[in-house]
Formats: sequence, C-alpha cells, structure tokens
Amino acid sequence: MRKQTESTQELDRRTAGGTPGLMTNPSFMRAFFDHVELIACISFLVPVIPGWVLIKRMSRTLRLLVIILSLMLLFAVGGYYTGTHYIPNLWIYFGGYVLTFYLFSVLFRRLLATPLAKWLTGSLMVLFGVFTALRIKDIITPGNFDSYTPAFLSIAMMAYCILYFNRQLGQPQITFIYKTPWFWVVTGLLLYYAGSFLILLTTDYLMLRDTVFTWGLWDLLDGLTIMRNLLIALGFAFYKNISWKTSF
Amino acid sequence: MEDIILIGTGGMLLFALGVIVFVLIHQRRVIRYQLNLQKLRAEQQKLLLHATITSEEQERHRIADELHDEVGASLSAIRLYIWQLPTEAWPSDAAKKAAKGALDEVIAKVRRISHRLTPEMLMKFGLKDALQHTVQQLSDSGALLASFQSFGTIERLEPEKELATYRVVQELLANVVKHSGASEIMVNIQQKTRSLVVTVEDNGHGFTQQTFENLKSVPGGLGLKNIQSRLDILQANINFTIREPGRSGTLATLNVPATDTAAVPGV
Repeated sequence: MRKQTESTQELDRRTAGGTPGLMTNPSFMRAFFDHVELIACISFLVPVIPGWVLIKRMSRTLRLLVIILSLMLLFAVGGYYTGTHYIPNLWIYFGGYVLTFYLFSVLFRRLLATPLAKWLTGSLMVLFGVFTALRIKDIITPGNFDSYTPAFLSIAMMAYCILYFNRQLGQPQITFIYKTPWFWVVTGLLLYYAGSFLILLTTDYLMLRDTVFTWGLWDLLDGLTIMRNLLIALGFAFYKNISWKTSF
Repeated sequence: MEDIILIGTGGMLLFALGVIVFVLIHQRRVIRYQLNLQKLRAEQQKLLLHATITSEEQERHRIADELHDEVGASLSAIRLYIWQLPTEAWPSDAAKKAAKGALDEVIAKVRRISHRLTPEMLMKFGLKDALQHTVQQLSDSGALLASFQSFGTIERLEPEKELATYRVVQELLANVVKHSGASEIMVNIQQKTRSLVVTVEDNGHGFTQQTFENLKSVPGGLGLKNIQSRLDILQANINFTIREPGRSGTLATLNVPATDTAAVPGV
C-alpha cells in the first residue's frame, strides 16, 4: 500500500482550500483550473434541478439517483467551504466515496433486479465493506488519502454499467436504447468512472505533485464530471418518451 | 508514471466508448432483425388470410354453380313436368296454381341465393353497378327504404379488391337490416384521387367505432371479423360514427386505397 511520505503541515501548505495538491501559487493555469472546477460543480445542477422538478413522476430508482446526485453536489460545492477537500479532512471526502458506492449499489440492484445483479451488487457491497475495514487505519489517518477505495468504486461502477448494458442486450427490444433515459445515465456513469479510474487510483501520488500534467488531469476529471452530469440530464430530457414508473 | 496514467486513462475511455458503441450497434441489428421478423410474420398471416378467403370464395362459387346448374335445372324440369300434367291429375285448379306458384318462388329463391353467392353483376359491370343492384334488391324487398348514389366516375379496381369491398358492404347492409332497426339506408360511392370511399348511412340505433372494436374481438361476431379480415387484405379502413351526436343513426365510412398496395393474390 502506498503511504504518505510528506508531513501533514506540508500537505496543508500545498492543498489549502481546494482539490488536493492544486490550490497553491495562483497563475493563469490555476485560474483556468478554478474555472473548470466551478463549472463542474455547477454542472451538478443541470440534472439535479430537473430531477427534483420531476421527482413525483419518477420511479423509486430514479428518485434515488436524484438523491445521489444531490449528495454529490453537496460534496462538490460544499467541499470548499466546509474544508472537505482540505487534507486533514480527507476522510470526509473519502466518506463521500463510500456513501456514493453503497447508494449506487442499491440503485443498480433495484434497476437491474436480476439474480446475477443481486449477486454482483451483494458481493461487491460485502467486499467493499471488508476492503474499507481493512484500510480504515489509512483512511482515518489525518492528511492521508486512500486511493484504492475510489478506485474500487470506479471498478464496481464500471461493472454495474456493463451489467446494465449486458441486460439490455438480452432484453426484448421494443424501442431504441438511446431513446430511454437510463441509457444516457449509465453512459455518463461508465464514461466518468472509466476515465477517472487511473486518476483516482493514483490520487495519493498525484496530490503531492503540482505540475502542469497534474493540473491537466484534474481538469480532465472535472471535464468528465461535466460530461457525466450533462449526459444524466440528457437522460432526464427523455422523460416524455417513456414511462418513468418503469425501470427500463 | 505520467505516461502510464495518460495512456491508461485514454485506454479506459476508449474501452468505455467501445462498450457503448457495441451495445448501440448490436441493439440496432437486433431491432432490425425483429422488425424483419415481424414483417415476415405479418406477410405470412396475410397470405394465410388470403388463402382462407380465397377458399371461402371458391366454395361459395361452387355452391352457387351447384345451385344454379343442378338444383335450378332440376326445379325447372319439375316445373315443366307439372305444367305437362293433365288437369285430371290435380285435385283442383287452385291446387295446381298453388303448386306452380310455390315452385316458381323456390326457383326464384335459388336463383337469388346463387347470385348472392357469386355476384355476376360485380364481375361484369363492377362495384358501382353491383352495389346499386344490391341496394335496389334491398329496397324491392320492402324491408326498408334504400337508396344509392355515386359521385364521379368510379374506376374499376382489381377483381379481388372489388369482391372484397363488395363483401364488406354486403356485410354492413346485412347488419343494418338485422340489428339496427333502421327504416332508411343510403349507400354512397365516391372515387377520390387515391382511394375509393363507400359510405353506408342509416337511421337505426347507432353503432360506434368503439363498439366495432369491442365486438370484433369477442367470440362469435363472425360478420364483423369477416369485415376486419377483408379490410386487412384491402389495407383499407372503416370508421363508424354516430350520424348526429345525441341522435340515432350510423355513418360507416369505408376507405379503400386505389393503388394496388395490398397486392391481393386472389380473394
């Protein structure tokens, strides 16, 4: 397991007030980065607002999705002001990942509702619990960021998304898949978690480096967040074409 | 390390895109396959329907021929024998006249049934004259007051289409006489650019499209099922409306496409 080698004080100096490792030495690139991050935060509103507007017409699964997105919005926007992103409070940031994983697991369990999906989500939930318990010491250590947990989340989410597509291939085809809201939601999630997997896996390495390359990666992460949120919002735009009381 | 992250991230994104594109292409293929399958099934069903109706028509034709050539001829021969019987053979003159009258009536009935089974008028002169003749017969029967109108030049359709259209109108008229309690009936035929429109209007109890849809799917109701079968073959549609809202009477509008899109192989 990768261990933090720098002192908490040093980390604080490098990361004060924002995403780990990127919030020092204001520059043009920093301004650009801040801008992208702000857009990424605001982009959560694109699916969240119509989600809450339409919530009464939605199935429980979709309501859960809106709730997850709202929590992610709170984590993203609130991070700055509550110090969630701040190195000593990284365990809260980590807690967000754990919560997100379990909520998405429940969501996909409900959405897919097949024995295979139940087995997979159940197994991953147990595995994740065990994995988290084993790493709890690293997680709660102030100034430490556990990269493996978000990486686990990414793999699990990719597995759920692929399982969804696999299920779709086996379903009797009535309408084109891209005319259904869940296609866009799952596409957004798959692209985001596939693109962010290696970045999240190496966050503890990257957060200690303040280079143009790492800024680019954080921008990429923000770009993926924006794309995911827009795709989910696009899915919500299809609510007129399909009964939202059904999962598919 | 940086290269690994960059290439790996790009690879993961490409993988995700590949999955999505594969799903889209596969699903498109599956839907196309299912649509083709549905189309084939529909065509097969249509062929089956054609075959059923064709055999039904052939059977009608055979029965009509038998009635006309065998029964009709025999009855005419009996009539001739009766005429040739000496007066002493009859108990009375009145009995002779009654027997002849009854026999004439039977011969006329057999001829009518035979003509109804295979409408000669339709084959020779087309739908307009055949319908006019049928309406005239209905009016002559005294069952109700029947009238016929045609608008414009009625072009002749393929014989199979004409026969199917004729059978539908025949069934509509029979239903009006049997069930509507109407005292008046009016049949109109009108040639339009792309279709032939036949309307059957009565002043009976009233019959709606909803009733038609409900009745044609319940067990029994053979007449309405026959109408639907023929409409399917003609690729035509029928619409039942209450003539005047709040009042009685039905207007049935039959719309038959003029072009040979149905490609009826023989009804």
